[in-house]
Amino acid sequence: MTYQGFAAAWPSRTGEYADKLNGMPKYVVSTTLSQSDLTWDNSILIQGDVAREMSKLKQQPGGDILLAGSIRLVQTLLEHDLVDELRLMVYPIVLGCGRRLFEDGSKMTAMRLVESKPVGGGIVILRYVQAEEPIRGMSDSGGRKPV
Amino acid sequence: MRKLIVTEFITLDGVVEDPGGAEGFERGGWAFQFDRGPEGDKFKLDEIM
Repeated sequence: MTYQGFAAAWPSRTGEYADKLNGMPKYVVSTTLSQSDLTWDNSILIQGDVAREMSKLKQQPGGDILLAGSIRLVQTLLEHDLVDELRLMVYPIVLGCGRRLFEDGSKMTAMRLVESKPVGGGIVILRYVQAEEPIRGMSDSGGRKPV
Repeated sequence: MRKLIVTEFITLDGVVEDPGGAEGFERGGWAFQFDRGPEGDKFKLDEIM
């Protein structure tokens, strides 16, 4: 869904951001699209066991891999500890419905904040990496320490 | 090893669905209600540079 949205919007655009985006390799994880559906320049289809394929991709030479949107894919990769950094642009709005990044049943994970930065519109950028050690008092056993 | 960086627009209640409004979600397009300003734009640009 994210790919299709991007592929509809960006190829016809120009400018620094669009040119860069259009030129870079784009890995597309999909169970429904085939390589011939990927009309956006430099799109590469990834199929099969997503966690294994992404793990292989990370070991190939090349720059960092940026993954935007793609909720279901992100949830799968988080579940498999394949995400090195999580960047959130937090918008000052409560939507009240819609798909959430972390749903009930998500794996309990401690994150370490590496940057926080307010920008325009009351939006805050938060950058997290996985914490080396779990937060004290946090456990996966379901127990919760009294505050 | 290459790093995998996930970048998301997210609401206060943790919603990440359709910030751009192109996916037909009834409340989609919420990100466009705010002007992230030059610093916000720069952050997004720097991500892909």
